[in-house]
Amino acid sequence: MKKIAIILALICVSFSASAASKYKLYVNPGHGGYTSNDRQTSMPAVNGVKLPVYDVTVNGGSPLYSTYNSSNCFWESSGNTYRAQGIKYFWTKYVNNDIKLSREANTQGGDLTLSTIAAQSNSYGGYFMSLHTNAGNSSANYVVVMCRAKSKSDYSAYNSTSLYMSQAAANWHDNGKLTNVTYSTPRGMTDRKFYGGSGLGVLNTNTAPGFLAESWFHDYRPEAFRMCSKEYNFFLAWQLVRAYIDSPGLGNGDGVVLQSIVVGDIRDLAKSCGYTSYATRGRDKYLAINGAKVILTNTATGGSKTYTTDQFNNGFYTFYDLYKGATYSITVEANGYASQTKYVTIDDNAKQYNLNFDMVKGEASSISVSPSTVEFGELTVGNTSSKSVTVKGTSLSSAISVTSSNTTDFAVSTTSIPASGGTLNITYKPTSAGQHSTTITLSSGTKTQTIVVDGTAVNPPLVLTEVWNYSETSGKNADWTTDKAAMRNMCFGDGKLYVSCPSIGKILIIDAQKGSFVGELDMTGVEGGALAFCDIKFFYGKIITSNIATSEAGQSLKVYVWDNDNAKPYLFLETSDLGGATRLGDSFYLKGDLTNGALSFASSHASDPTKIVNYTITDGVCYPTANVFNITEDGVTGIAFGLTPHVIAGNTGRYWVTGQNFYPTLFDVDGLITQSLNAVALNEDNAGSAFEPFTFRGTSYAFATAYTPNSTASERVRDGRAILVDATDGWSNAKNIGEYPAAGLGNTRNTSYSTSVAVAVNGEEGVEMWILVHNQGIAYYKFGNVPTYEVTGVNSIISDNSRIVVNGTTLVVEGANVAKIQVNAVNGMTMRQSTNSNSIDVAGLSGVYMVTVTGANGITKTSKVVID
Amino acid sequence: MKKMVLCFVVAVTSLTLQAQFKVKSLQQVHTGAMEKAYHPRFMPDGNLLVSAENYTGLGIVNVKSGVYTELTDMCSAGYYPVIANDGKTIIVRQKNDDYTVDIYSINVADKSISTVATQLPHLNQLGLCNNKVSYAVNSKVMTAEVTNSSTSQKFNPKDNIFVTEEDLKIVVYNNGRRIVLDPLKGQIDWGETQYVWTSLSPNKDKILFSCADNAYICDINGKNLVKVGPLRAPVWRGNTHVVGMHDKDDGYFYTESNIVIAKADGTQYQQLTPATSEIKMFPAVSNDGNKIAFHTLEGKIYLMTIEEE
Repeated sequence: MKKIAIILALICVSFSASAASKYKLYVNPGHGGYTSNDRQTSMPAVNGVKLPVYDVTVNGGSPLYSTYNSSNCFWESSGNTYRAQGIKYFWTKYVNNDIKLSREANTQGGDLTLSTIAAQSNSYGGYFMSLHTNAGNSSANYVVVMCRAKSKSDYSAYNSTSLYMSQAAANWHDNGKLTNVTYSTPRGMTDRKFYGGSGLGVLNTNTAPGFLAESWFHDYRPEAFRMCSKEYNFFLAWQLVRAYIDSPGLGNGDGVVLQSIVVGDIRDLAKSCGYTSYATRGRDKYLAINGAKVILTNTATGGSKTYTTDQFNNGFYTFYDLYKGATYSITVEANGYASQTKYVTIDDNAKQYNLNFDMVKGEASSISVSPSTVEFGELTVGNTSSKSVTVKGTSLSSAISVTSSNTTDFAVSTTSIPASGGTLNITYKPTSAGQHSTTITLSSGTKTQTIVVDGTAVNPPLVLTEVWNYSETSGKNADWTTDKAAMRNMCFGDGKLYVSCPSIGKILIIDAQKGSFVGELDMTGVEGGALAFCDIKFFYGKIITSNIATSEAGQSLKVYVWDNDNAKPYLFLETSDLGGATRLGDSFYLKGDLTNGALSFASSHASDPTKIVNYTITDGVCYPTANVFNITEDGVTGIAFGLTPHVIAGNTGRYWVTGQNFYPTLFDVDGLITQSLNAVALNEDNAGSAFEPFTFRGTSYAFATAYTPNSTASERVRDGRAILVDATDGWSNAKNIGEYPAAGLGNTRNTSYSTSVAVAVNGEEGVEMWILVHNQGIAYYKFGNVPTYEVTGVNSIISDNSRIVVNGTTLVVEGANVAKIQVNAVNGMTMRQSTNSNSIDVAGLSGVYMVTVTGANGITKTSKVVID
Repeated sequence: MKKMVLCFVVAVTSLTLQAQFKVKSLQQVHTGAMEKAYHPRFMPDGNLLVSAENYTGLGIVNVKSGVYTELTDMCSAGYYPVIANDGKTIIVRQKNDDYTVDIYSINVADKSISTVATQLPHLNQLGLCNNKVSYAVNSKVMTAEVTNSSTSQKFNPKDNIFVTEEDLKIVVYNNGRRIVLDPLKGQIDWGETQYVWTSLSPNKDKILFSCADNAYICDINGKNLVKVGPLRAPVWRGNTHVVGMHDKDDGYFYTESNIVIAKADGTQYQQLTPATSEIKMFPAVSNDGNKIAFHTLEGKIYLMTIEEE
């Protein structure tokens, strides 16, 4: 015992114990470098097949097996290296980073002297492990783990911790062995007890607690084959780390938790191991299966890992870092053998689970399908089509589950097929046009098979039905359509058509679906220009019109706005800056809205290049400065669209333009042509001026106005109609899929080239379209289900300056000499009437009524009137 | 006083082309009650400190009488103790069961032991200069005063240079500045460089160390590296030579080892011990450089007298 004398005044410095040295480990992979100081074992051919030859200079001496000295050998140093790397893996993952190896790779230089290794262990501190394998008579196979004995005469352990660790390591190796042994008692002992003499050199001057482990005998050939496996050495390393954390004062007490491991071997017990020149025992006598695929699957999460047994005739597999509480399936597949699946539940950490597989000849498990691809071809949206696939299961241990990646357009007849197989019906049920596909996955255990299914859906033909047609050709008229020369343009909004009739100075309001007259807009103050108004648009409840201005006449361009049907118009834009155009106003387009956006006009001229003239709207003010956007074929050459060109301004800076002399054409942000509508689709007649693209059920369509083609100019622009084109394959490849009306609206030539098309799409349900051709007529068509619009009456006028106004309980006709007023309910019942009076008492009435006013001039007008 | 047994006096032939040293005598030293003694260290009076093979315990062998006097039985007390210049004080360590280290001061005269520091984490070199014990803990040099030895030296800045190993790297503490040296970085092909047997030259200008089984010398900044040769457990002989062992093994056991001397500039390398079957290891050099002590694997202590030719 040390004597302590307090005789000096010392400055003593004390530190708390560092846990670091407690968890430091210095590892020495024994031998090294394939030298004379290394130990080699010649390897037998298995069923006449020698092990493959590797160059030991590659990857620092890996792989393990080499042709050093021109013989097929296993080298002890290689197995020792892999076990050291395995210890480092588990140590850094589960303990800490305080671990060093005397060599990481297997090179001659790394085969240090024992004195240097011991000195490095002493200097580093912590614990020590030296890793070796033993050799004997090519038959023996056991473990011996040795710590330092006290002396040559006293074989007891110098350090009790070292002895405990040695015994724990020997126990873990021996109790978790994959083979039988020739020495049944695990041998954890001192070096001198095993070897005698001066003991192991690496322990002689080594002050670190620890051991030298002889982990089995590498000249027992089945063990040598196992030692060729890096993963087998990792498994042995796991056992050594596992033994370490059992040591007194270490491991679990400090929260060191090692995750569990599964190991085993895969053999054919009906065949011998394939060599007889060396001793074999137990399972080692049987054929180890190389190249077997082992799949570990977490049954809860589905996560999986795959291990393939190597070519070293050991049949070994392992999975480590397994989660406590998890249940895993382990499936083994090998050519010529029936697949096997076993299950293991990891009921605790730091446990080793041994699962061997005895493979039996047979078919490997599989799922096969016929056909593996299914092509439905083309199918109309709304229809269904079914095809069947034959599914065959071989050696499956569970039913085959069925999942589909696209359940919107495809359906499968079942989600589970018996393990032996069955028939799977696949139904294509597209809900929208386009190409559809799905991948159907069939799974059983680790086996999967897929079926690729394709189909193309097309929309049912979009064929519109005529609702009303007031045209020359039909010979039908409403009271407001008799003067077809008056109807120049129209637009649709809120269930109404607004029909611009500049020649009679009226904008008529029409029930769009019924085709009946509703009223007229107040035209007070609308004046000026070649025409006081011409084109008309409806945006967000407001009605907009513009006049036609020509530079030659020095006319100002004017745009008027009505806030609603009953409002008086106000001037929104008046400008003399026509942007160099000779004529503007035949048509216009509102981009954005009346608060922020732009009014776009296409200049009209029979031969001059068309230009787009924009007027910017900011905060509700439309500025009179013209911003010209030139459109060209190639950046230089302008295009003369002719008379009455129409423009549609897109939100991305692109413009559609059409006119008397050119097919509807799309220009990019630089004003260059990107594509034009297929001329064939318009019967190669380019005189139509209206173009209205829309999307219905996922397909791009458009209505464009056209006429009966004729090479004689004087015969052109007759029989105007709206042609429906399908642009599924692009506008330049658009197809003509219908003409409305097919016979055209009238034979009178449309010399103004003014045409209008309005389209209303009701979601996926239906489409409405109205077509107006100047001089020829107007018509309404629909497809599918369309909404019924509740069109309320307007306070209508019966002459240019008269109108109906409801003032409290009195209905007054202003600005006209009235002969008779009759108020009828919508069912026709007369509710009130008066004669020779401009007013009538409507007290007690509420709702929508039809008011018929007969003027002193004999004109009779009927209007819907709302009485509150 | 027992007479020393003269085992043999051999004029050892040099193994190098130019032998620099002549072995005048080589004698086994009786170690009295310490039947097997290892790791000899020279006391200033020429006697030897020895311990067990695994550095346990520490005692003094009177080389003339062969009497062994135990100073302590502490675990690792024999692991590189430091001896005061006057020989009155020896600083040792004890490795505790909880893997901590204590440092003690032993008064040689009465064998009394005083605590210097306790419960330290693992550490390597100890230093003793002007009655101050130096050791490195948590990347700092700590000092503690011991008073039973005389202070005779004037202050020299080199006294504040302390060299040790931390995580197998050379660490120099030079007047408050810590420098980690890795002079052979990138020069081995099996892993990271690891350094051991590090010591400062007597004039404190150079560092002797071993890496990859070879001894090297560099300056205190890790520069001017010189490969001395294949010798382990190297120790300084003055500032010009290095003495060490050239051991061999088969991976399990030592098969051969001899004591060698080499010139610090790497130009000379000479085996001093005869090629006998005895495994001669871990040499120590007397302060005057004329005597070398070493142990054999079997626990014998030899004392060699050399003369530079």
